[in-house]
Amino acid sequence: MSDSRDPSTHLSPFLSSLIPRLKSREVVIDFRGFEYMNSATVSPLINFVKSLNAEGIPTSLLFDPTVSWQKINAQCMRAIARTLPHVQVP
Amino acid sequence: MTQELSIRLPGGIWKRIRDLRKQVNEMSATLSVELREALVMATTELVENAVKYGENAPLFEDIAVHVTLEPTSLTVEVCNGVVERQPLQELFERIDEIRESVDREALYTRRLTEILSDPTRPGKLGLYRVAFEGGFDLDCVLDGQKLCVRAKRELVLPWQPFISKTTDSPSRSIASPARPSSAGAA
Repeated sequence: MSDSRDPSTHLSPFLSSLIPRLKSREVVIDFRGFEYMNSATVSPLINFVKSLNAEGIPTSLLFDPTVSWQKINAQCMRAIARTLPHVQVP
Repeated sequence: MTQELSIRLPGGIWKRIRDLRKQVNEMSATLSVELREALVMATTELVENAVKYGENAPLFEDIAVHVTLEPTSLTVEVCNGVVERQPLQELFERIDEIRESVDREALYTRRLTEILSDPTRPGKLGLYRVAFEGGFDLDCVLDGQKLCVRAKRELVLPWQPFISKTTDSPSRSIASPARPSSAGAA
């Protein structure tokens, strides 16, 4: 799905539909099994994380520090998560 | 009277991109994992941009991809057709911004923050990612109806095959038209 023309058209509605079911739960988004993710996928994922935060849903984003691109993205997500009190990037 | 029109439009572009990614991965098998992933990512991002924003110019219908591995550098060049010049302004500005930046991580993070603050804005992260995550320098050349974006990463140390053995060909490259060039009509 990450290499579809515009991942947000598939991902965003799907991810939004999950939010009501995730209230009062803890969410872990685990990227560690991802081999590749294109940049067009980042935007819908960030917006999903933002929505989870707005609902006060505790969310953790897991990246594999031994994979270069994941390590870099963890760094950046950690930086932007400073403004999202319910989101952590260990 | 019956009228029929059957046209075959070129399809499967995303599968072609997946295949290209595989080819680049195989071509660069002797590079370190980090360099290989960077090269595959840069190639994919530039080709995706060409698919999304490129046009079928009369004199340049295909997307041309050229990946070159040299002892001290990796280069990806992706060329596509251009009809109007006005939409290219943003591309030129973005490449200038990246070229002039001393902190590419800050550029990338700022872009992520912009996406976070305005979900309606399109991502447009690809070039920042090629520059920051991939460590490539970016350049672009417009020649008539042909636009070429080039990403080049200089290597501090030559990669192993070139220092361990002699070869007649000093570099390896693949070139691929990523977009089918013709549509059949019946």
